[in-house]
Amino acid sequence: MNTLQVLHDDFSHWKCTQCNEQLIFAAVELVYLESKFSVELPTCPSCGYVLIPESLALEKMAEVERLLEDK
Amino acid sequence: MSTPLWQHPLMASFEDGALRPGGLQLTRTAYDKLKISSATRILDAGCGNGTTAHFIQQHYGAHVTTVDLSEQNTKQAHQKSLRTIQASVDYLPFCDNTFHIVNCDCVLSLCSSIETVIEEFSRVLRPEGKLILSDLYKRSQPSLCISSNNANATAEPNQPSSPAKSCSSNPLSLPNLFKAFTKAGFTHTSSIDCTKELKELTAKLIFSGITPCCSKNSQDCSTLYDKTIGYIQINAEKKG
Repeated sequence: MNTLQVLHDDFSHWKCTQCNEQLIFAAVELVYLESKFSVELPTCPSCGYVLIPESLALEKMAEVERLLEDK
Repeated sequence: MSTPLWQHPLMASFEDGALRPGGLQLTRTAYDKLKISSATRILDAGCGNGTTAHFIQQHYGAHVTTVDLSEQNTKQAHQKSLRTIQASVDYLPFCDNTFHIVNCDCVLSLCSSIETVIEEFSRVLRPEGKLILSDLYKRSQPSLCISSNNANATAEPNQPSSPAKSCSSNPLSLPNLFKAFTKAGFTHTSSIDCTKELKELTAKLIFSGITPCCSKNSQDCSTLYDKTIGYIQINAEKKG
């Protein structure tokens, strides 16, 4: 599965509050209903915690959810 | 003039580079059921960049010929060591009864006359030859399911003579398609609804910031995504 680049901003100034590690882009699997997508998201290299920026959640991810719901 | 979606550089990175929903898995679904040998002659009508035809040739060992209207596509297919001719699918440069299988993905909805193209497919197919096509179609309702051997799907009839601007502007009317099958001597053997695959490709386009093919308006992708459009793979057989 190809990994999609969904963010183009710099997130290198973000740190994981638990590990104090700088977030790096890593492939993350998003699952909704019966569909899976591999996307690059800022991730803590230590604990794997993923940052989903509000803009992504409210825009592209919300659009894809509506699309897949078939309502 | 904007670049057609299928020519967008990122499109080649989705769906195995097949430039259509479902990618090569959809091809496997149809071809795994068939007995194919090196003597099997297959025409990929409207081959695009040749990804599907190349896969069929390599994976099944068939003798594959391709045609496409686009010079750019013809060159790309040729680079994949495919026998390629630049031609229109409604006027195929082949003798009658040449092929065992005609494959046509995401092309019929771009054609001005479905009837003419289906007649042409019938002409170049041998008796009992198989037609395997996949394309966008007009769903009567969002949850429509098509079962095999069932041509009862209802949809608004499209205007076959109207020029198509893109595949999504002229999705297939299944009743019209099945009428064309009957007229050209085909028997509809099975169908698989692949609308999930269409949505997943559309979702990838949204995630990547590319305007989906099946949106009504380029300003807002999914809220105006036309949910009356689905994707279907249809198998038919030319009567013996």
